[in-house]
Amino acid sequence: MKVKSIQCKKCAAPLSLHGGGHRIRSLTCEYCGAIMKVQEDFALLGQFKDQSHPDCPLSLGTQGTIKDVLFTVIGTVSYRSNYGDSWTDLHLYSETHGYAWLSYQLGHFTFTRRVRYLPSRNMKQLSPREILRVNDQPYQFLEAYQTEVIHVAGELTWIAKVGDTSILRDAISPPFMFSQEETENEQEYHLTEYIDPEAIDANFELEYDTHRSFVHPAQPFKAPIRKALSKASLIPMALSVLFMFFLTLLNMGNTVLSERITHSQMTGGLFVQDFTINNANHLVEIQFDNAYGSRFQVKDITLFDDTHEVFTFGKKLKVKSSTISSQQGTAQFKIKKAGKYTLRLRAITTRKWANSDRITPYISLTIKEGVMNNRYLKYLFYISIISFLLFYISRYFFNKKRWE
Amino acid sequence: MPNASHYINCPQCGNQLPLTFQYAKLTVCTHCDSTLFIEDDGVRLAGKQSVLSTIPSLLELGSPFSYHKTSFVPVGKVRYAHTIGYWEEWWVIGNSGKGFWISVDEGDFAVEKPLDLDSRDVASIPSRDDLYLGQTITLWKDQWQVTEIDKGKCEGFQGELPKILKVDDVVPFVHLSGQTGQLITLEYLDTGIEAFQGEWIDPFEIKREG
Repeated sequence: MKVKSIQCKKCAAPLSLHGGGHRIRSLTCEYCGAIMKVQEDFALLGQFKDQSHPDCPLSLGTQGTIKDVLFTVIGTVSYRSNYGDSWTDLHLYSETHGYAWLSYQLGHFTFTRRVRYLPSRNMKQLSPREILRVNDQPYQFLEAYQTEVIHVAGELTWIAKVGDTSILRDAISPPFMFSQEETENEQEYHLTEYIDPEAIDANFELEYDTHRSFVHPAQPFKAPIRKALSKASLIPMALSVLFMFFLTLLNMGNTVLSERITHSQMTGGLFVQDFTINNANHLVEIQFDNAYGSRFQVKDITLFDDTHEVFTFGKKLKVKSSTISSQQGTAQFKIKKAGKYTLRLRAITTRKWANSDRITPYISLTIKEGVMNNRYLKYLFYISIISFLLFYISRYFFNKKRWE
Repeated sequence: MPNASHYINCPQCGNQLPLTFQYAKLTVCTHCDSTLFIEDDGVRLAGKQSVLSTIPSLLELGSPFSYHKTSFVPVGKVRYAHTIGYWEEWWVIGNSGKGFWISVDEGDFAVEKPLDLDSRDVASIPSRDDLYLGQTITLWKDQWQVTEIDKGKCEGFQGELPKILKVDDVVPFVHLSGQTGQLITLEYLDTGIEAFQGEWIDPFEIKREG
């Protein structure tokens, strides 16, 4: 691309023409703001005074590739919206693909080009989140706002003036945004695509802070690790559900003791019963249910072999409040060997049984052998669910920020 | 390279020239740059032309490309100059053997096919002097807006073309734009009006093959 130099007609600063094609109408001096009419031998049209230079990591003449096409930054126009936010549109030119824009706003880059197709609905009449179709793709209407030109430099295909206003209406389908730009004389449509700042960084050989402080409306949600984790978690989730289902079927075990212990079966608050465990390979489960907490309070359930204590519910059964009306508990534990064992249940009577009571209060107690525990499968299921949902929850909050 | 439908020999240098387009009316010898008019009874030498300077382009003579799953081969091109610059018209042959014109003007690409106009069609086309920019007209039951009125001056050509052209020929034209990206080009020639209808195409959708 040929680069031609001229002197500014106002301040005589050397200005480079970066080869924008025959449609270039104006050249604005980046130093003094003088506007020159390109097709009339750079005749002076006016001057932008007190332009504030916008923050942008790309400057006039910078070259780089976007979508495998080489573009040169030939001009810049900065805008401010009626909401107070500002951005810079870099006017790009490619010898093969013509004109386009690269917009920069607080770390975000978008690539925009003019399109000739029209939206399926009148964008003037749409409210946020309403659906319209563009080129057979669904878009959600985002917002309408007014823009004002606040800075101009370099070559442009039109004559821009500071203070020029236009109405923009945006609809999004990340990473795309479809915009209608309405000026006094015309209505144009543009397709914008969000460009990863790292790609601009690499393709334009820049070094700048790619930190982005807000979610751009066209920014796609990217969380490859969380997405992969979410997908991968489906396997353990399905397996854990499947195994839990089978374990529930197999988990029945064999009942070796089943008692309804009434007050009359206790001696001095103790119920003692021998039983035999034949299967020491799997877990033993003790399950008890005291629905009559106002009459009994189970204080301790302990299992003994010949000489030693094998298991005790112990602290779990301590009653903290006298108002407790029921007690329940299940415990699974391993025993070393099959054989004869003794159960000792200790309970205190909180209210004596009266002759007028029509129901005899009791404590249900069941001991099973050959029980398999699905606790770790439950943990796996919970972890899988969290891993699965993490991506969707993050995406939900990301999309929420997009609309703020 | 596309398959040749037949061959001719350049009367100037004897070079064998493959013709891709069956109904080619003009070709330029790739060896001596002579312009050859292809007539029913033979080939007529129409003089030499200066070689067109090479300008970067997405299209290249003889290099096939695809657009929306249809393959095309550019077989000829014409460069026109207008008020403020130039543009190129590429004559491309599609899969079906039909020819189309692709206009390329600084990244604006449009594909158009020639319309067969009968006398009633021609009668319904307004004269160029009656048209002005921004005017909305009804043509063949559709509404069109006049978006460009200009003249193109032929600066040169290359390859095979479906019509006879001469360098410095001036083509007055009018562009009409439709509501959904369609367009009509009306060419007001000394020999009569020619019309082309088509649509804008996205250069990012053009994929070079091979």
